[in-house]
Amino acid sequence: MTTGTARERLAARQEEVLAALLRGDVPPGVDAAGAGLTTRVLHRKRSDGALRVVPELDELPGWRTAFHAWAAAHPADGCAHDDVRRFVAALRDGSVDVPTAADWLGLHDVHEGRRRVALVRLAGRRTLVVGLGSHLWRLTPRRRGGALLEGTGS
Amino acid sequence: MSGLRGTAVAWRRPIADLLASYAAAGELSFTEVVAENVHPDRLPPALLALRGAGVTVVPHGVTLGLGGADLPDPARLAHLAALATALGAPLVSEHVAFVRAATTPDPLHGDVLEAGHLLPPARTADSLAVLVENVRAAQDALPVPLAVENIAALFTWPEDTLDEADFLTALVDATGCRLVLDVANLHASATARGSDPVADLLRFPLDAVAYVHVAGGEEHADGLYLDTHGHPMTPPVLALLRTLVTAYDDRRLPLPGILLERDDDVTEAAVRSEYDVLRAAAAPLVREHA
Repeated sequence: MTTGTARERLAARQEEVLAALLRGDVPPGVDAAGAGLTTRVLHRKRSDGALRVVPELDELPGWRTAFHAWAAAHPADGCAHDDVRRFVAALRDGSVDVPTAADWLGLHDVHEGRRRVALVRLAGRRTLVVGLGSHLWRLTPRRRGGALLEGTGS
Repeated sequence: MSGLRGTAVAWRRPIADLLASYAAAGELSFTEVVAENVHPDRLPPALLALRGAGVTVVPHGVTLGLGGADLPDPARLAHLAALATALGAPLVSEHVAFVRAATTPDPLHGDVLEAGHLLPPARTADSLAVLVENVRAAQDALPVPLAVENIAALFTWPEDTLDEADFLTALVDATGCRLVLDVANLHASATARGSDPVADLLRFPLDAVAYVHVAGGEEHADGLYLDTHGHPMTPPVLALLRTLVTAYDDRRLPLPGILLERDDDVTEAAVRSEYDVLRAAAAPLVREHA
């Protein structure tokens, strides 16, 4: 390799700038608008990866904003599955504060097979989430009261 | 050299049937598959069927990081090489980008930060020297020529000393590599750095272009352009594509193949509509004195 010292200088510089962009800081000398948009693209790519792993994230209002703030403070350390595991743990221990996280965690736990049943509020409706094997049902009270339930399987 | 001509659409699973119908109708000159999404021993049957129908398939890598400080990963290169062989591809394509960074150029030491996205290397003498060496290492490991693509760079480095056209020309001159010219990325980069995309395009080494990329995006509120690959192609990008068609015609160079990329909202309806627009924009010029 003829470029040994050039590589070392380049490595240090690329690490410095990438770390700043991932944190959401503007690297010195870089245009603030371009850096800010790059950060947003980087965070969005990461949350897209998380959503592919756990599609029910979209049922947690405000999750993208919370995830991007969390991502700025937590550099990726593994794949999208690792991201989701760490982000869900942060939701669970309250270090990431999303108002309806408790209900969503119930839904997520049934998706993951950690629980068979959860009674949670989703999109403003009480919902009984039931998981059996790879099937999942959501049962919601009929709008005019009564004990009968509507179900949707997925 | 590679002979990619006509118009094309990048292969994605949700539009496999559509591309098969285009191929059957003779409306798909070639295609491209994201290398990281397939394995050479377990290629998707629909992709192999296209190949069997005579459609050229180009493996397109996104995680090699040729613009990074470290040498390209031999395992990633071996994957690209195996795909090129399995697909009988005339070339492999990647990007002029870095995608990860570590505090040392040795990937086995130090914490590696993964960007998960294509980021622009600085355009300095150091950066060019490392890129040239990385491209040569990739060329040595590949059984077919390598083409590298200009990315959408939303920021520029304060230490830049070369502009993009000069940087890419120097890379081509030093390595003999080919280019994938992405006109949407050029529009995005030029918008972000405040340069004129038409003037930039006319200074690119057009005779080194193996094929052209185009994709949809959206104009952002602060004037920047995001290459979402999930929106329609915008009027400025289509105008730039037309500029490119004219530039090849003016120079009496054969027009390279032009490929539509769609990565978000990949539906048959969206791709069909965008491909119709592309084919109209890429139509040969009608000369007054043919």
